[in-house]
Amino acid sequence: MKEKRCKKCGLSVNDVPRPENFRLSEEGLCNICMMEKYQAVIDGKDPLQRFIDEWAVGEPISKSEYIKEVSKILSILIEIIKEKENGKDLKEVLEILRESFSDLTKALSHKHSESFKDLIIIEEYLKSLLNISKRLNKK
Amino acid sequence: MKERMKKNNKEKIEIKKICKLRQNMIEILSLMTEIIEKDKNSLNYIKDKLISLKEILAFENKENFRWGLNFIKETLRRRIKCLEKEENGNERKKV
Repeated sequence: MKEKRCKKCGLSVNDVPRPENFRLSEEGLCNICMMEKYQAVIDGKDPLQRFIDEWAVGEPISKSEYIKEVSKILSILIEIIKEKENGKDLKEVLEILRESFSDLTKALSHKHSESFKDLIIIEEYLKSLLNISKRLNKK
Repeated sequence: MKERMKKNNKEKIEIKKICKLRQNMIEILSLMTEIIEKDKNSLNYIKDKLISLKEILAFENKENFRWGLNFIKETLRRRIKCLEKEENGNERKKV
């Protein structure tokens, strides 16, 4: 039987680590080429390297996980606003929001797994920012 | 074979859904950034919208979820239009 390969990048299940994560769609595209099709991500990387970076590290991320992470970040942002809105410098709060939105937009524009990792980094950063605000308010 | 095809289709749909969600979020965040840049007193407005967005993300019903995201985008676009009108009005007054 002829080995099935991705119509775009030419990878087959036998070429990749974690073959259980390799999928060919009905139209004959692999996971990575499918993602590119819907996201228009072109990074010039070798197809095998892209598969390793994207799909050979852990399981694919689900929509509910994404929603959960974004919701967590929104909650922290709302808390930061609440902590800071009584202070004098409202401009500073708006600046924090503007920067956070910009970081989030960048993170969401990245590729699948990188995007999720970046969201977690943003969450951690905002958490520390919130803790600092809380401490300052107590003083 | 059938089961594998079903699983493949499911994953394909999941990827599409995630991409759509990311697209929507990028659009909403960009609109919010535009509002912050246009209005220096928009803190309460943005706070309300972030709270609404969080509530929408918790919707389990697909239709409500989609409707909510579109509604919030439309509201933010209207706000930007209002701010632009105000801005134009103020410039005319100055002239």
